[in-house]
Amino acid sequence: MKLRHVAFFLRRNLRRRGGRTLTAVGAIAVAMTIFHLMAALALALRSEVLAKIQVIFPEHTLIVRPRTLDIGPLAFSPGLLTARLTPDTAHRLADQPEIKAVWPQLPLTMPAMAVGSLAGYEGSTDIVAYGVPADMVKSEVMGARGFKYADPATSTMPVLVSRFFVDMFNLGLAEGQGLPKLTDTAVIGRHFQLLVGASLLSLDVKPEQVRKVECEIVGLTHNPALLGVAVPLEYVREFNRWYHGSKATENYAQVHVVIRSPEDYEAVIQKLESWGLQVEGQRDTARRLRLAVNGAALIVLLFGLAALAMAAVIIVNTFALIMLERRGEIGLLRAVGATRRATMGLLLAESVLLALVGGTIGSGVAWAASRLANQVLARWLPPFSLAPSYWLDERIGLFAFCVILAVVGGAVATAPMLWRSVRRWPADLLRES
Amino acid sequence: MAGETIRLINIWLTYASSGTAGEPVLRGIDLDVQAGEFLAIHGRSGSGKTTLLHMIGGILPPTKGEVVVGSHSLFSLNDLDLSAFRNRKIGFIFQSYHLAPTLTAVENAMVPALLAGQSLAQARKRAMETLNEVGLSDKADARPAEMSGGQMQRVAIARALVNDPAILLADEPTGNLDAQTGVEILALLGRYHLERRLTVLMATHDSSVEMHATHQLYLTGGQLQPLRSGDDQAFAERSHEANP
Repeated sequence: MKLRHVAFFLRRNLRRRGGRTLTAVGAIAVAMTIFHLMAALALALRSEVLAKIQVIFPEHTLIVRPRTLDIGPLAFSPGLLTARLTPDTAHRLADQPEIKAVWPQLPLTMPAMAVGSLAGYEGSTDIVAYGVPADMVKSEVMGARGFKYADPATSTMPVLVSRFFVDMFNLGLAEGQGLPKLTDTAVIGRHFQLLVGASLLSLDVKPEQVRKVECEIVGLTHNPALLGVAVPLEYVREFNRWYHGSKATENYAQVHVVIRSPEDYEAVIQKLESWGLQVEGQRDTARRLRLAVNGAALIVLLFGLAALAMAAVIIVNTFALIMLERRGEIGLLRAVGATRRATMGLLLAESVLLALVGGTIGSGVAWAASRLANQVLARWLPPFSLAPSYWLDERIGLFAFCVILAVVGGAVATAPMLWRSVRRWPADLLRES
Repeated sequence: MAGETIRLINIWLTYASSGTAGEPVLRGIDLDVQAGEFLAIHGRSGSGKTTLLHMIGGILPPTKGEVVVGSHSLFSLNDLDLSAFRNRKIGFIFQSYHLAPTLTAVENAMVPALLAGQSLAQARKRAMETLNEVGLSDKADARPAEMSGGQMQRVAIARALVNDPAILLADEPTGNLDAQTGVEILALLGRYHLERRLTVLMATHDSSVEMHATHQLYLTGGQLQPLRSGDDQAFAERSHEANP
């Protein structure tokens, strides 16, 4: 049968069977709306939350510290009994075949204070700062300044600020004092002064030894080890030497070790512990969290699939009723010369068209609802660093997938009963109609 | 298209009921119909007249036996060839019309032409010509629900004739019509038989068909018997059914 002939029959059937057509299209549309929304939620959960878990609890990264000796609430790091994290230790770590990267974290060993202005308010706060290599934070650096050392006397110092620090401001200070809340774009590129050696809190300050450094915020970090601010390692080394002279320590507070393969995870931990180091891995935590998130996403998706299954039953029943009503029509078409294939094609085209229309409407509504919900939630919820940047996946691919699913589902759901009908002898169909 | 010969060879038919074979409806029927013949088959309700026409039309296979039309043994054809046979060679007029409720008169009449591969315009033109011949061109755009029984039967005749078939099978075409309309429909079919030299097989209770039929048979007990001249058995039974 020619395509134009199929269109001829389809147009008339669909137009003149308004009630049944609307029921079928409506059922498909509602099912696809629910499924699309559930799938969008599950995908958002997986992509957004898992990505944050990956950043906060990197599975291939071990945090290595000098071993502490815990006595009650006190913890000591007795150098005679445990290894120190010297640059040599870091080099030795980097030489291990199982280790891919070593990122030392050098603490600023004197008080430091940030001074700046925000929305017309002058503010200052004591601050903790660490020096880290650029490789460690390259994915989080967004400012044009980059994360490179340049003479602090003549250029700004690039600074990464902890997202949790921004959270504290937004959820505490800004809420309490009615200050504007900070977003990524409002923070990145902002300048402030770091007063190295100065403090509002500490009494151990030498007023004659305070150094002003102009800073530019070049990014925000989720890394919980970098609570405070992080700057290129060379700055901290220089400030420590300037402040403490020959007594300045070159030892690292901790070293982030990235292992090459997950299979080496246990072996590396055992090796480093045998060196007298304390090793903290994130793998188990990350896995538990991932399992929980995947489980939640699966449950959400199962709800969507349940809706789809219920809709499939409704759709199959509706089509079964339509087929029952149309036995005579099928019998007649066959009796006047339609082949099984042509009859099947005609009726299948009808169910596929209904599924296409229902799927497009349902998934389109869900897609629009997702966009709207994301925009409303973004405005309505307080900004905090662990919040997903979106709650429902808006990808057009999901829309296309749902439409294809509806079409394939419609075809699969109706094809067996159509085939059973067209295989029967026309006289039997006519007699039963 | 000139008529075709029809041969039924030892035709048996038993309807299966709940998985078990029931009583045979047709019991070893042999029949030869010459091209251009008008054969009327009489018989009581449930005697198997419709079943016999369905077999000749290729829409119901016998339990046993062979149906040969022209040079083709129908039920040995594959689906494609059997469908083409139904479409090109057979015009079927059903007692209850079997018009598609979603299509207008002209659209119903177009269906076989479309299935034959004609374009929409060609099919519509041919269907309009046929509707005109059966005197229903003024109802071309009416749907079945908007037509009388006689008008619906005329649409069914137009649909049966639209592909210019060799064989016209009419299953009690006057069964649902009033007497006057029945006479008109029979006259119409008689005219087509003469003008187009069609082979016509008609299952009927209607005695007035004798004006048009070249042969008449009586189906009883699953077998065909000649309807003898002056033998009014069939009509008597019909009268008995109508006025028990």
